[in-house]
Amino acid sequence: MAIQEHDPLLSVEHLSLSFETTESSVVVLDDISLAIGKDEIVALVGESGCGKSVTAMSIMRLLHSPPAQYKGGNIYFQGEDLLKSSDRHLRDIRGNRISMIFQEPMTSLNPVLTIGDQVAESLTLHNKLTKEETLKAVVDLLEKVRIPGARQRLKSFPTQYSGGMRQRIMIAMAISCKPDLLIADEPTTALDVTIQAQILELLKTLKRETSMSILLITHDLGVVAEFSERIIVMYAGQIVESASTRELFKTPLHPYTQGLLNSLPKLHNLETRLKTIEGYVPSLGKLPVGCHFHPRCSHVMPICRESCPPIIEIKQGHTCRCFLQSEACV
Amino acid sequence: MKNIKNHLRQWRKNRSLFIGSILFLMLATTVLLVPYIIEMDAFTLQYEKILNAPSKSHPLGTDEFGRDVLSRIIIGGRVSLSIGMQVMIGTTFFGVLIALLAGYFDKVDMVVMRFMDIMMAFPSLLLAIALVATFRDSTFGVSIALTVVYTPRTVRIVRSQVLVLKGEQYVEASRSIGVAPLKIIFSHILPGVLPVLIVQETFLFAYAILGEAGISFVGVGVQPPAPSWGNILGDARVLLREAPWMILYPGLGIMCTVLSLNLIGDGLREALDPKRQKGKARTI
Repeated sequence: MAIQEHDPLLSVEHLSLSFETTESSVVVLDDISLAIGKDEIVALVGESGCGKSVTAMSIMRLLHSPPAQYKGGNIYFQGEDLLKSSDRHLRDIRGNRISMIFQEPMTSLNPVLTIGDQVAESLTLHNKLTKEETLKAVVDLLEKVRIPGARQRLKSFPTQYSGGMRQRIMIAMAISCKPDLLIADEPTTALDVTIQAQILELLKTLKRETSMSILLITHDLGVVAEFSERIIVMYAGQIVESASTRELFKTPLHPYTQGLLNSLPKLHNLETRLKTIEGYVPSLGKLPVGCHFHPRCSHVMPICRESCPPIIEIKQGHTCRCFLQSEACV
Repeated sequence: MKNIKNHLRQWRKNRSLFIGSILFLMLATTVLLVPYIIEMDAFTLQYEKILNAPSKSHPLGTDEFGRDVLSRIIIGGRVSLSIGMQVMIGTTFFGVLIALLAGYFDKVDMVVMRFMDIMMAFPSLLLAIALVATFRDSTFGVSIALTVVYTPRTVRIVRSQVLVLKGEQYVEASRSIGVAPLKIIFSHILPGVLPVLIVQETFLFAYAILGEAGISFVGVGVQPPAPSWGNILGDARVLLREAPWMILYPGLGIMCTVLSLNLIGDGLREALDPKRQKGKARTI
């Protein structure tokens, strides 16, 4: 599915964000543009520290300011500009129309409150419900995320649950108000592989039932391949490539994306060593001049060291930030 | 029922909590209930019995006006304990409120904590004496003065815990579902502060009793003829050679109370802080 040009659910346009302290200013997000259509699953991939989570947090305006400072751009959600919304309005949106699942299920639940109270919180915050209605809704939610014996477990505490169960409770909280957009920030990173598969399967089922859109943040391309419809690749605070999943796996255009795909283990090719991308992700405080990726790029050209390539649409729905591609276009 | 039994066993296993709470309960029941059972006269002046040594009719002797020392210690204990209690409630209320707001809102923090620093820098007894002087009703005045003096201690300790909890992911998660700041503070952060607070306030109870004794000893606290442990000691100071019983027993009263409260505090800390539990692996 290509980018739906008309009426996306969420559209982020040229968003720039920096972390400001008294000594320094670090650009964390540089000219981020992305769009998520209704009923679509989009994946945001990239190495650690490239700005994936910050992107998610900035969409929900959850970053503390200071240090975070929006430098430009717009975030439109269902036609409203979130950067211009009041705190009160944002609280109405959070948990109700956009909600989020965090990376660490072990620490995302308050250890001193019962599961029932915590799941009920979002519900009662955004809806007017009587006690019985809330109770029923909470039990329904817990059953929906397949917590066995939901009614008996309302009074239990997070320490009595395993990581996978806690993540399912986080999902229950996130979907309690039937949000239009669910941001899942590495929902399976802290879990083992079988639980990971269960959680992803659960998210997929829930998505089918409620037709919400999902922005999945991950560094696991295997997860992305089977789960998402479109992939956005980030590197050092910038989007470097964006395409449909099929397209991206078939013809990756950016050398970084190619490097990522080459470093995946392949079933039919039993090489002894996996390929890697040379070097490290640069620190955001000390970005190289020109294209951020050029020190690690195998196709580096003189121009890459001088200026940063613009992001351009190579094909319908496939954009890339690389001089190799723009040269090819000309 | 089984649960209660389990709790009782835990309580008995925790030595300092067990001994401290038994001691404190004994003192408190004596001070509170005995005057209802045995008639106590702490005020009648009997000039024929001035400075009598302990005897059958006056087990702890009499003071310079012939008043029964035992009665005065018990009635005075009520005053001391009630001041301790009032200070504990006062510092809990104001301390927690200030600490929660200061810990959560950075802008409030800057102003409030500098003010607390100034108050901490002031000699606390001196400040309390100055404050007591401005209140007429001496017992309540002492409570207010000590509350003002001890609130910064509670604020400091609770605030540091708030700062820790503020960074927890579950607080971030509750922001992500649209919970308003004040609700986050009271329903997500406050419960996490409670263990630290309970321990701190137990110690504060002890501090307040010592503080009251100090102020009244100097003579500006609880005013005669009303007895308190502090002013009995103060009166007895000049008679130390003639009537050592006058200074010994109220001193013992203060010591036992403070000791019992400190033991309770230590015991509670051990019971409530998972990191300090002996012989138990910490479960996350």
